[in-house]
Amino acid sequence: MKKSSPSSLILIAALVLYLASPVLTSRLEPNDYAGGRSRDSFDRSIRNSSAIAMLLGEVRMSASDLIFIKTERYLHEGIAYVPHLEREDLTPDLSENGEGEEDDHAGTPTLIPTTETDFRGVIGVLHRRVKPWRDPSAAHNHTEGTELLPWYRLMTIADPQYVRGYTIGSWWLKGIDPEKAIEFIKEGIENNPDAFQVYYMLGRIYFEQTRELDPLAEGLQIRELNELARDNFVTAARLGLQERPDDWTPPKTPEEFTEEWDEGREDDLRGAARLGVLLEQKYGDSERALELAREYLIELAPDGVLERRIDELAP
Amino acid sequence: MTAAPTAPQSIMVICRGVFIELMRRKDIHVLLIFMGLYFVATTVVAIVGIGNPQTATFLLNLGLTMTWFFAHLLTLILVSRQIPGEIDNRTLYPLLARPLTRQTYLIGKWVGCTIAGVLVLLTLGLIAWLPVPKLEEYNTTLLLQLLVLHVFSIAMMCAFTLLLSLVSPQGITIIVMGILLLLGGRIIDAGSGLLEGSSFNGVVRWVFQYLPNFSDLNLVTRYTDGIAPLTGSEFVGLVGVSAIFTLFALALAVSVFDRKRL
Amino acid sequence: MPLKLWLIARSVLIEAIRRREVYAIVLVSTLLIISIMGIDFFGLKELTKFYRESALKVMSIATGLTVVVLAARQLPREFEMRTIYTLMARPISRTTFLAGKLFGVMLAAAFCFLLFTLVYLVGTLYLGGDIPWVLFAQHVYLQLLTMLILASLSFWLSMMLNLDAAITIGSLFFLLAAMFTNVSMYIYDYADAFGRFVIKIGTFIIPQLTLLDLSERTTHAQSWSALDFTTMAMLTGYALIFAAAYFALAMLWFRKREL
Repeated sequence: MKKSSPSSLILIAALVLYLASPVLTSRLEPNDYAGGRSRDSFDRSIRNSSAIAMLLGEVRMSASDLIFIKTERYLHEGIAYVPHLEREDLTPDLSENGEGEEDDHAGTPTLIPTTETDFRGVIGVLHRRVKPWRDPSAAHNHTEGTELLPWYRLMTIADPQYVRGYTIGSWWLKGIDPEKAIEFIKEGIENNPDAFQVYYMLGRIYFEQTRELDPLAEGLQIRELNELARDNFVTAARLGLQERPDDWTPPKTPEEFTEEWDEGREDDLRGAARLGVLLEQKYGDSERALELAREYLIELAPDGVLERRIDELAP
Repeated sequence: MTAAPTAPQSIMVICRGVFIELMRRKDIHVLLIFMGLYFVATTVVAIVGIGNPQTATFLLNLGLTMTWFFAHLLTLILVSRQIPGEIDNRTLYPLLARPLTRQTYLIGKWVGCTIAGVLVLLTLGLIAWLPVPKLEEYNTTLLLQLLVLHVFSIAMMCAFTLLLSLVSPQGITIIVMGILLLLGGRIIDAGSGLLEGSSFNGVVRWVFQYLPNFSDLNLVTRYTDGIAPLTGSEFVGLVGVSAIFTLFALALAVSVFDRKRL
Repeated sequence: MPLKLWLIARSVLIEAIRRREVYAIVLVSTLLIISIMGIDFFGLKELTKFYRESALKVMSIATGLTVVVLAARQLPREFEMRTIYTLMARPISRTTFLAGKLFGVMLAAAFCFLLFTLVYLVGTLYLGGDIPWVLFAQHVYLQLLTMLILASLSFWLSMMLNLDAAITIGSLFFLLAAMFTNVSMYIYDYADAFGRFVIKIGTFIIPQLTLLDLSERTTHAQSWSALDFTTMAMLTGYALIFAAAYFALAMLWFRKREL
């Protein structure tokens, strides 16, 4: 009988180990973690507005940063402005009363300089003609954000812990297909069960859906949607309060917010708490609504909206 | 009469050959080009200024990621032409006429290329890491884990590239390994979800795990994100998996090379 | 002379088409474009900006890298294989030889672009998007001018440096071109008088490849029209100056090289 050589034995041993390796590899996900500076909206905004970021153009290492740039460009017809968009520009009517703000941001400089400030002469002239460019003093023309949806989809596939990808993506999607938006944000909840903002967004989408319905003909459906919205707002408020640092006090100006707890998070938490109480009051139990409002106010005071609710509900 | 060299001695000779070839072909020029690029970048950053901790972290991430990519790319280019180059130039035959087994020759090439790759990694890594001020907190244990895993990643890259270079032209080897390096993790994720919901999903997931996943061995973003280090079992698991993949690719390459008609 | 030039160019094109690497690059890039097209974005078909942007980027990078590798290999290969001696023994001037090589590389680049363009157009039409024909044609034309600069630069680099260094510098020059333009625009304000002088000189003597890239305009085509004739003529002149300069430098080094 022919003897096996040592190299054949090594190959067989290596093959056996290799064939069994998925037992290990499927359990190892070293880059699958929640949070982190690369995903943090506060950090992201600062680093992408820095001089170094301007120099790098569209070169970025994280999904969050890339979507930041794409959002700025797509909403401005491809024109490269110095980053200036705020959260409200991305989710135009995401305020408690549902009214969006319009600001044309005229005066924000473009990355390609104007004729007066450009040292490059004819090269500068060609640069401005070839690239999407308008004089920065002109009003900005904001386009539909729906063309950004593929980026959000791709980014959440690449980084399922990128919570803002789910929240902003589903907000844009809601305008086209609310069912798909709900499906998308539910995927976000599945991948980020502890992130309060995904529950808040799901609540907002249900809540917004009720506005499209006729209160007389579709009352039952409105009630069901509002109950679903309420449950998500309450969950969001509970998780948000757990996430908010214990000794946190509201800063006097937006600039004083820190990476630990930024303005967007604070707004979303207050929105979840207020809407949770409102919907519990309307579609649930008044006593429970009062209980919730008092519980939230302990952490969120001063809050005029919650205080008003307590006044209304208190016997 | 001199005694025939032992296997480790032969491996060292082949390994030295890799370095001599590296200098002779002026491959060092490519490393110098990358170093020059880092130097220009450092100068520009010094002129513009960093300004805040977030930007410093961003630069650290960019520099370390580039280092990871360039070190793998240079290793890939170096390895991909080792054996085909020796066959084309007919320098392989006198080598194999010596008391040297093909197995020793191949392992010598792997060791030499891995050491060269690690040296590139350390050189570029230091240039990327040292000048950036550390304005936020980063975990030192994680940095050490990152370094060890990058070394294993380079060794795995060398083994798979050697294997592929025995069966395909250099260009194809570079393209295939380049895609695995950059998109391997994404391909595994996307492929694993191909039949989501189907009864075959488990099988498909399992099959895709056989692709080498270089992105799992890259902890740069985890490090700059300020996340805790890997647990002991996670770290040992990753080292173990990369060692298994390397061993398998190397053993298969030895077997293919043994049977190859020269 | 045109016949000789054509014969050399044809041999480059045939070699490029025969080499499996070119097919591999085209195949991989096409698969990438098709897979981008195939991703289900919530069942919404009319979202074409993402597809347009990604496909144009893939086309440009794949063709650019192919041109750099192909052009950088031409002359060292002839010396290495010693085929240059047989060629030079014939009544062919070195200028015709180099021009033929350049023409051949450009034909290969055009072949790559043609394949990609077909994939791109089919993809856009399949997704239900509009094709801005004039703008797209201008984009392809300017990309070919970029390839001309890259090919002549790669010839020169391959005569000065070893092959790997030539390919590395050529590729980095192509991939970092936009960043270079950004850096020079931005750090000008930070620089002192001497620094400003250096930046100015650099801006004019280094080709600004970003000027020949209409991909952003094509992606956001609903908001931007095609370029006017004067601009296109200026861009053509700009690109030809650099291509001619690099070709002359390559020629100089080629003449200096002993056979």
